[in-house]
Amino acid sequence: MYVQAGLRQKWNMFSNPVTSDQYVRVVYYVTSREAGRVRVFRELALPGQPEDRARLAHMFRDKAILNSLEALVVDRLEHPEAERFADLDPIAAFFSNRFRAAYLTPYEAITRTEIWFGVAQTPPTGERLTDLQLHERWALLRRYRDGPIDVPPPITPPQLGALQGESDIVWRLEYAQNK
Amino acid sequence: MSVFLERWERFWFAPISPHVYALLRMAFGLVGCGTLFGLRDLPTFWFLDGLVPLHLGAVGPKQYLITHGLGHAAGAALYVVTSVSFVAMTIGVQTRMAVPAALFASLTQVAWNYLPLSGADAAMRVFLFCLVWSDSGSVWSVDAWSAARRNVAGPPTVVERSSFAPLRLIRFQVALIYLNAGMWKIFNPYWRNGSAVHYVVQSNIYRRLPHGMPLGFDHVVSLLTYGTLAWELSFAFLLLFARTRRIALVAGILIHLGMLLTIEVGPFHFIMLASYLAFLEPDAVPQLSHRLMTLLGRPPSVPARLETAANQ
Repeated sequence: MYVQAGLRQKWNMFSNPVTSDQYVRVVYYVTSREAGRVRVFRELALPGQPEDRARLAHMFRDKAILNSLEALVVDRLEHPEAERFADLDPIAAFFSNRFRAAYLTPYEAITRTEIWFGVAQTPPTGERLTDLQLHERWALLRRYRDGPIDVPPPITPPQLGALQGESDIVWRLEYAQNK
Repeated sequence: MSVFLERWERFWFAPISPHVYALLRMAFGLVGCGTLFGLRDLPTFWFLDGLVPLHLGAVGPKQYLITHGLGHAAGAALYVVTSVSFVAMTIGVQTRMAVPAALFASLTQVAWNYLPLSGADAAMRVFLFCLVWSDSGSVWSVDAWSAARRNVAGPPTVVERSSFAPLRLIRFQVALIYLNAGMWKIFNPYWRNGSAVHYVVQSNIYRRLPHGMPLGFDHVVSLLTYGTLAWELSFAFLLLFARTRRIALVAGILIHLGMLLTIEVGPFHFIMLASYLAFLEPDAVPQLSHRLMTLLGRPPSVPARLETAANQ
């Protein structure tokens, strides 16, 4: 009853430290009724704060995204036979709604949403990224901060598990939802 | 046998000053209010079309609310109720109801949207579960203040002493958190090879400063990895003796403050540091307040009423 009430205890914080920097980007495929063509936009969802500056405040949105990703990992381990997982639905719905409200006209619609998880390896003890590597990555992240990036649409939408590289970040497609 | 039972009885149920419970109530309440302030973005964290999982926890009620167009109203109402219960708990208004209400609201929040929550919230819930069994509103609360005002012409109010049990439970809970955390860590190779703290302080998710820890500090960071592991694993045992208890708690304060400066993990350090108040000597807490007021140049006109009650 104690556990069922929501008082389950699991104190495993930092017990399995992640050895890479983590990123999440959301990609929207937008179809316009007027122009009749597809445009693709990329938006950075995680981290929510610039990482080239000191961070003073806690970002609950980042925690929500990380918890969703952790739930996906656990679900995949527990249900390897499942074809689809709903763990990233809240991220897709939230960012799509926000993007639609901020950037789209009534004649435009999001026809596909993708969520990509990005990692950039943390150098081991005794090593650090060079200033050049760090500034290259920060320059990329700054472009994302200026708002969603308009990119050329792919010939065919990528499949789950597809990989892409940007600076030293390796992106993996974890979620795709067509509408 | 009777000696054992007597010790058992004294260990769990010896009467203590309720001031320590009031102090814990206020400290936990403040951390709860701070967390809720961080979650004040209702459309993101509370409305059902926000960053809220609809496939987990209270799925039926959530679907019902969405179907009837009540997703926003219910989310806003839950936020208001949770905030009111934590504010009431902090200042001690209707405390007997406010503390259970804060616990209930926290549990409801898990079912509503666990996504933005962290270990700090889990710690808050288990501490509140211990605190609900105490009378934390009989002193240092609006309740106590208004009772004294109503009774201004009557005999001095006698503050009843409380049972030790809830305080013991909070102390056990703190020890359990660290022991459990240490046991998880010892199975991880990065904690065993001394590099775990390096990866935590370099991570873009946790580090406070853009460059993380400078290269020259790597040996210190390695030492911190082993130090943290040793401290977490030994914390529960160090609590057993008065002298080592001080060492464990001082180390804990330093570790939490150090982490607070270098990594960003939300309210976790605050809730853990607040829980350390449970290790104060309960009957010394009213005196601490007396000394504090004297230091502030406002000596209380009436000595702690609890002492009067205890001596009667």
